[in-house]
Amino acid sequence: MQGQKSYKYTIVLCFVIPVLMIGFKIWKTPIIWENMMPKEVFRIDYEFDVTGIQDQAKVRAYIPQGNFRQTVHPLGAAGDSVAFQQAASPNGLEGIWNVQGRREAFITQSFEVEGKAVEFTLPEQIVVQQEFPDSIAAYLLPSDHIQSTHHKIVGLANVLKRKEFSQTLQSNFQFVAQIPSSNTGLLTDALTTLERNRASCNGKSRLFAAICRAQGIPARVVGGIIMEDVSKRTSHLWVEVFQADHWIPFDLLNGHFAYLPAHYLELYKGDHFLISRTQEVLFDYQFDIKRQYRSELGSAASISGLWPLLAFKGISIPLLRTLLLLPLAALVIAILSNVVGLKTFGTLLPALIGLSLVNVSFIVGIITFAVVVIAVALVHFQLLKWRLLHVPQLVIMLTMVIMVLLGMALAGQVMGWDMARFSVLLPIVVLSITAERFAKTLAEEELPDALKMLLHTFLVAFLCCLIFRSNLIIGYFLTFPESYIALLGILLLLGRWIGMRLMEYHRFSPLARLVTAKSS
Amino acid sequence: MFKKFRKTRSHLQQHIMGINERNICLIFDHNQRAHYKLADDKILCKSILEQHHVATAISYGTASRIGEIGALWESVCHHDSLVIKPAKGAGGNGILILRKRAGVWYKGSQLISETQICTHMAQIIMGMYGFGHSDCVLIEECIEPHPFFLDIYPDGVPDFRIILLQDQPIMAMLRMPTDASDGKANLHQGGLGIGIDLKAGTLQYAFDGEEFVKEHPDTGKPIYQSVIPYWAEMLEVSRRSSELFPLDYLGVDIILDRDKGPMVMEINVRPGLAIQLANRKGLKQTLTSLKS
Repeated sequence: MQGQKSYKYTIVLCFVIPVLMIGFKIWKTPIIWENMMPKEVFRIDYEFDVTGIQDQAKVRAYIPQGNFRQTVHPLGAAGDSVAFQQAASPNGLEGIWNVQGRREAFITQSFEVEGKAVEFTLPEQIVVQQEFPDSIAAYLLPSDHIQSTHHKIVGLANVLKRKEFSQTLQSNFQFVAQIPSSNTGLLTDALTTLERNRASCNGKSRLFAAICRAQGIPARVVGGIIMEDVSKRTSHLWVEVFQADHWIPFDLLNGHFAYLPAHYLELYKGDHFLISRTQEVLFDYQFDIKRQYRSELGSAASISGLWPLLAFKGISIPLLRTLLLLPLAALVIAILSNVVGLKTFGTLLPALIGLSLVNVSFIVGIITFAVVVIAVALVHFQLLKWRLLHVPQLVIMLTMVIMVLLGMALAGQVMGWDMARFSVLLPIVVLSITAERFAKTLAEEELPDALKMLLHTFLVAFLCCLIFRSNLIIGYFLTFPESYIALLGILLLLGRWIGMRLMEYHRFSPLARLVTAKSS
Repeated sequence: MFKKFRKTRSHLQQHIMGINERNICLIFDHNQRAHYKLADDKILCKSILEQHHVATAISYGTASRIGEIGALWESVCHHDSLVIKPAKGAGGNGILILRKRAGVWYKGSQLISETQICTHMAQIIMGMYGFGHSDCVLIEECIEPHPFFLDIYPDGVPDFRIILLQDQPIMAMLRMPTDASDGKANLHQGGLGIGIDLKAGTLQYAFDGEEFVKEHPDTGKPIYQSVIPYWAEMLEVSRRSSELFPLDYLGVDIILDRDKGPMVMEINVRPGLAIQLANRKGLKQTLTSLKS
């Protein structure tokens, strides 16, 4: 073969270079594998604009504080230098800014927050606790905006009360959650929420707390911010219910029952204002929030890898998944095709299917996929009989895919099947192509052949999906991108590998039987 | 048990040519990619064969645009039988064999309208059988198989596949339809693959996808050791065809016509590996015995 030497040298280089580079990196900074995964963190900047100051001005605001579900790193202040103090209380940590001797000030204070989602399972039976300690018993009493002793609320609380604790909370939750939402930024108390039957997060939270208190369950509102990649002024209010030594979160507006997502930043407990200030000044504020990815690795490894990519605006973990892991998934496909001999619809189609199932349960995803593909393929089979021209036929397939998806989503919504609901999220083009290939194979070959290919396609898609789901592999390629060179080396070897494919041993087994028959 | 498995495994590795090895050691090493199209395009392939007076089915006409279909059909519809093929099709897909009885066209025993025939041609041109690329329609004469085959099995058109390496035939088989294959002779569609003794010109065992048999499974007519008519001519025509193409490894498909004898149907750059099953022998085995 021509160029045999250059082929061999290239392969040697493909393995030597990455091994040397990875070895050097590990030698310089020992790698802790758990730290290799990219962490999603939020940088939140408090920005206050204070103008028209006569003499002096004071701004108080709750600032992030670490707890069991959120880690906070203060990043310090930028902007005008202003006297800053912190004051801790059971309600939270307050920042206090004092402006003196100037007419206006631009105040910023920054934090980096890493959140963790928490989910609680409610006990069916209430843990009988007649006597709460004072600090908790306080949350059984009515307050200005949580009128838990008002007769309307007590009446409602009695109606909603069930025998079992978890059912009581379910019925309270359902009642309040179904109240139509409004976007008002105004303070709405529990009673007004009930009377108007319309409220934003703060009204709903107060009503829920009031009902719980009226039922003898300690409940308090909690204030914070939902962290998203935006600048915002709106804060958020949710409720915590005390049960068996835990405060269990409920978000009435967004329907989180005994669950709090990772991007909820808690700032204060109880019915307070997030920001308070001297009234005689002109005041404006916003929270500037940025989603960022960070590694726990030492700076040496971070810089020599692809980690700086994470600082790009607009880059996200899903995008990184596709970029970083597609080569590895494609390598797995190459091995399964040329070494094992699996036959799939389209060479890289299984990778796309795997990618589309990253965020859903694989089994459920594959079932949905199979239902759509088979349903549409049956239609296609009929279209073939009618001998339609190719392009209109392809468009019919696409339309059918969408119709089946919409139908499944609707059925899922009506019947309450979670699995069917997300079907609209599957990529239509990937589905159409799979259905078309399946139908074509069905027309040209026998049914068992087509089903076998479908099975092989799903099998390979499953393996690709496992790869795409792994944060550890993302972290690995971010840290050791030189591994891509080694992937090329493996592919170069595979490109001239002449061994028999595993499936071929089966295919030619009649010949093997002949040999054993002869020898025996 | 495990030992036995390893033994058969190593036997297969020694003798059988797998698809990876075929691609690298036979196709890539002996054929240049630029020459593939000479064989892949049936119209081009036929024109080369015709130029050098190699017997091949007479072309009635071709069409490369939808607009040409009407005129093409006008010019060929006076024939009593014809075959419509996609120029770049593979695996026998898209081939339509038509016969006229009492002024109307039949596809096998099914009636077929002229509109349906023209739609089929339009589908060929739009790339339905050519891997999504646009394609050309080729209409040629319908070959009447030699009575030798009709005797064994009365339906369909059996064809010979001869694989040549550097213009020398190395392995051959006869593909024959069965009841299960619905008139098609392709092995993976249920057709029979029958091994051929190259020197003696006789049929050997038939492989039906499961096991080796000596008779046709549907008719019970003997196959094993039948002497193939025109075998020497067939080998000769395969050698001559192979010399016309700058491809060192190829498969020549030949049909034996009742009146005209061996006719080359097409040239294949990637002949399949099932021929090893039909001959109960690996290609690697054959290649090593040729070398020695």
